[in-house]
Amino acid sequence: MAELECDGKATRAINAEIKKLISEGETRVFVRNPGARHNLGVAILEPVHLTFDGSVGYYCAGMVDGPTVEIRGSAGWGVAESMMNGTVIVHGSAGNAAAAAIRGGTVVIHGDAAARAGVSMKGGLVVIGGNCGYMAGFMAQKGTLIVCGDAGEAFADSMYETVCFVGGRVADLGNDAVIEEPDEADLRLLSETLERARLRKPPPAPHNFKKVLAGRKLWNFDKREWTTWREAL
Amino acid sequence: MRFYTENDSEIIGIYLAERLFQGMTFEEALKASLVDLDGSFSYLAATPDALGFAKDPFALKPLLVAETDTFVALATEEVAIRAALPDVYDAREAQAKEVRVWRS
Repeated sequence: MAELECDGKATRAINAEIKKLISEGETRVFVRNPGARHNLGVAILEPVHLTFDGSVGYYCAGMVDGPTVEIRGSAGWGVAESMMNGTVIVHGSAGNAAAAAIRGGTVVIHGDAAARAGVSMKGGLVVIGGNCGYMAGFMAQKGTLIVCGDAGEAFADSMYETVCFVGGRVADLGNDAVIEEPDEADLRLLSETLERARLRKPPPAPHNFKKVLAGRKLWNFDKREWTTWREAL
Repeated sequence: MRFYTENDSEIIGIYLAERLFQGMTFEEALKASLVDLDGSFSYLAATPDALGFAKDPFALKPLLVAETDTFVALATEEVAIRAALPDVYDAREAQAKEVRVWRS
C-alpha cells in the first residue's frame, strides 16, 4: 500500500500524486492529513482502494468510475457527485448534495447527510446511516436512496423512478411523493444492503422502513392536476 | 427605521438590531429572520455576550459547525476550521432553517 502525505501540498499536487501512484500499479493508496481540502480524489477511473485519513472538503471523489474511496472523517458538499461506478464510504457526516447526479455505484454515509442528498441521481445506491436534511431525492430519476434515520422536509420531491426507503420519521413529503408498504423484494433488498453497508449505528429492521416513490402525477402535464403543478413550480 | 446601504449583510445587522430593540431575544430575532429575509444566506451574528448563526430555509449557502467542550468553530468550509484547529473533532453542515446561539 502506498502512503501519501498532504501536509504542505496543494490539492493539484496531491491529486497528481494519487494518479501517478495508480499509473505505477498501486491498488491501495492511503492519504494522510487531507485537512478537508476540496476536490480530492476526483475523476479516478481505476478500481483502486483510496483511503483519506480525515475529513475532505467539497466534491471529493466526484466524477469517478470504479474506485473504492473511504473517507475517515466528514465530507463537504457534493461528495461522489456524478459518480459512474464505484463505492464511496463516508465515516462521518456529509454536506449538501451528497451523491448528486450519480449514475451508478454505491455511496454509504455513516453519519448524517445535509440538504439535497441524492439530488437528481440517475442510478446507483445511496445509504445514509443517520438523518438526511431538506429535499433529499429531489428530481431523482433512478436508483435507490435509503435513509436509516429521519428525513427532512420536502423529501423525494418531483421524483421519477428512484425508490426511497426511510427507517425513521419523514418530516414532510415533497410534491408527488407517496408512501407505500415495502413488498417482499424490497425487504430482501433492504436486508442485503444494510448488512453489506455495516453501518456504525445499527439500522432499523427492514420491515420498519417506509417506501417512498413518485405518485407519477408530475410525469405528464395534466390540467386536472393544476394545484399539484402550481405547488411544484 | 430608515437607512441606506448597498450591502446585503448590513441589512441583516440592522434587521437584527431592530428586532432586539423591539424586545426579542437574540435567538428569536435570528429565527424571525428566516421568515422575513427573502434569499439564500448562512450568516453569523454576535452581541456583546453571544454568538449565533442562522441558515436559510433552502440551505443554499454552506456553513460548517464544529463544536467541542473547548470551542465552537464556524466557517463556510471545513478546510478553514481544520487549518486553525488541527485536533480530532467532527464538523457537520448546518441544516436548513437551523438557528443556534452560544452565550459566553
